[in-house]
Amino acid sequence: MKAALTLITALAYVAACLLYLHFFVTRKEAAERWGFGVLWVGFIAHTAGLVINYWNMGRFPVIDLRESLCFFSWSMAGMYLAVRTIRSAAPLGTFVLPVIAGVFIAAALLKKAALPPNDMFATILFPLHILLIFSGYAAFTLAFGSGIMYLLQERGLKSRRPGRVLDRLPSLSELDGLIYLSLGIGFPLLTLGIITGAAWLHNLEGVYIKWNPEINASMVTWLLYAVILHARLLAGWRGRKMAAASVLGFALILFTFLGAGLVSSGFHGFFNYP
Amino acid sequence: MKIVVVGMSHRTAPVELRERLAYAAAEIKETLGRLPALDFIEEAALLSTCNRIEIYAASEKPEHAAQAIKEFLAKDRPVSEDEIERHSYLHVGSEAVKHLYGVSAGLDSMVLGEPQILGQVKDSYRAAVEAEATKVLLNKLFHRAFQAAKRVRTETNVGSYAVSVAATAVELAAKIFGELEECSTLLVGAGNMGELTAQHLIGAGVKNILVANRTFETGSELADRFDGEAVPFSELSAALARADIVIATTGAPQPIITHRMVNDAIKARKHKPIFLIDIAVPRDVEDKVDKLEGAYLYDIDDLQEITEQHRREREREAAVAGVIVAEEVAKFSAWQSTLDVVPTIVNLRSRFEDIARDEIKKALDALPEVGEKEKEAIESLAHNLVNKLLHEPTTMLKRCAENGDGEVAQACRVLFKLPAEAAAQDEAEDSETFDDEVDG
Repeated sequence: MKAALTLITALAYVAACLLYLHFFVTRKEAAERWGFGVLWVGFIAHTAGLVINYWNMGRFPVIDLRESLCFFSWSMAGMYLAVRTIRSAAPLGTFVLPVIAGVFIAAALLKKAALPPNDMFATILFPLHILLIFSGYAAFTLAFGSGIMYLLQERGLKSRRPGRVLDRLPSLSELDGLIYLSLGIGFPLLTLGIITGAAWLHNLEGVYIKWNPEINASMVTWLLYAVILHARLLAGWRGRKMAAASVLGFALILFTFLGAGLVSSGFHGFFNYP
Repeated sequence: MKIVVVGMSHRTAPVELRERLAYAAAEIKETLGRLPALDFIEEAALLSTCNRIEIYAASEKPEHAAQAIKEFLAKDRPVSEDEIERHSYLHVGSEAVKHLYGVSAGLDSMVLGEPQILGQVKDSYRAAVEAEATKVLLNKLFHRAFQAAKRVRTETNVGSYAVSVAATAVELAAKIFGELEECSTLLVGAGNMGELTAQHLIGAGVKNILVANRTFETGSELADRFDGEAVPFSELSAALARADIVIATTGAPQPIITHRMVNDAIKARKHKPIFLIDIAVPRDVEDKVDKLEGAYLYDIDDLQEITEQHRREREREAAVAGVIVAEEVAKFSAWQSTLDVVPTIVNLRSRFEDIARDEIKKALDALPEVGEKEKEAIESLAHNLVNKLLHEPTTMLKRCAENGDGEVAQACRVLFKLPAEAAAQDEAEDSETFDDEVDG
């Protein structure tokens, strides 16, 4: 059952990825609609797989690297589906789906770590912390994808010889709106994620903060996004600077998530636990 | 029966001659009423636009039909037969089919791939149907032409690249601002090119137009035409801050929109992008404005270069469209060949049905006491036999005809002693209805 769900999810994500690519090249709306539908199928199968995992293991299935990646791709898929539903963000799918599919497949190929049950993860604060942080990351991934598209479109327009490829990208103003929307969704989620994380830590060890590489990097990330949004609201920062900043922010997240996770000890480390 | 087209287009005839030949929409129906009355012409349709005048006809003798059409035009319009002879073209059979398909898809238009021509062809066809000038062959031809044009439109990009400077400017504006409804446009100067570009922008949804002209009165006249607002030339800087799109067309010898002005405008706009279209020569906008973040500056050379690229792109797409047209022409030819065999099939069927009817009668006469049920059974037996026996030969006759093999039909006529050709022609014509396939 579990294996079948994993296979369905992987196939659906790859198929959606190809459909979105086809849409991008041929501009056939039908391909995008199909891609969107297939992505839903993958997302539902993915969700079912996670629920079964939770059930079987009796804990929230986001502890080792494999589980974290799997959950990250789930968050991104969910976030894209949500944003696509409220905005015409179709070409964004072409940029984000390869990430979703790639991360999911990487997770599926990783070896399962045999972890003993641990009380540390039994509290509700843990899943809440994870869910919020990862949803925030997912929103920032969309900001990253939109940022890349913005930089491409802007460079083309500045060159005064925009090629035909750029036709397939949304307009600068739409992309700017998408970046702003994604950051606007991601930042509160990240903030709440950090707060729940602190509360969890307090329950566990009686302190609100502890300096490990992952927490440090998270703080830097949070600060960066805080500065970007602040500049947008007060100084009217927009366009290329916003786009570049959201790309930079995403690089920081990757560092936080993978880099720090690999060198960290304790609950944020993928390998050192327990 | 063959399809013939006699026509004169922008490729072969000067505008002055086309003007004299042109038919007004109101005249077309009446003219079509007279055309099929000519010798050698069975069906007719007339296409008259500012770039072409063409008469399509179905005829057993295409050369004679073409001659009749030319004589008709010379009598009907103030042109001499000699002029028509020199400036017209004549296509017969599949060449004529190919011609109409190409025309419908915009491949023969002055602006390659333009879509209006399809509407004009549809109107012409509708007029011909209303005048009852078309029958089975031209009906099919036009329906198929619309399908071919639709395929070209959906399967190629021949119509999707902006091929005028103004249209290119609109396309670029859309790449920056997306929806143009909310965009303000500032016209600096009252030049023709600027007015044309502004018209295109309004066509794309722009509502708010500002005009800044050195002579305020001229500016205000232009602003009135666009339902816009004239601003004094001295307040250009302030106007820049309000404009998303700036079109500069003044005759000023020096740049009038400076780096500093645009920089200030961008700040006042809170870094919302600004699109500057400089179509003046010498240029109106300082070149280094381009260095400002959020400013997108295009001069006339840029726009012309992009437009030229688009034109080349359309030509490349036209080659793909040509392949589609060729495919569709082949389909039509195949269908037309089966048309030739329809009389044979009709004769064959009626011969069989006659036999069946006679035999049923004989059988029933010999069995006077049978009831209704038995009678029905005997009748349906005979009809089923006819249908089953004829199914295979009918299919084969059509297939052979499609492949251009007319001898099989001939053999069939000899074998079953069918009457000479043409006898069943009328029945064949009734089998095709007009309006089922016309879209739009």
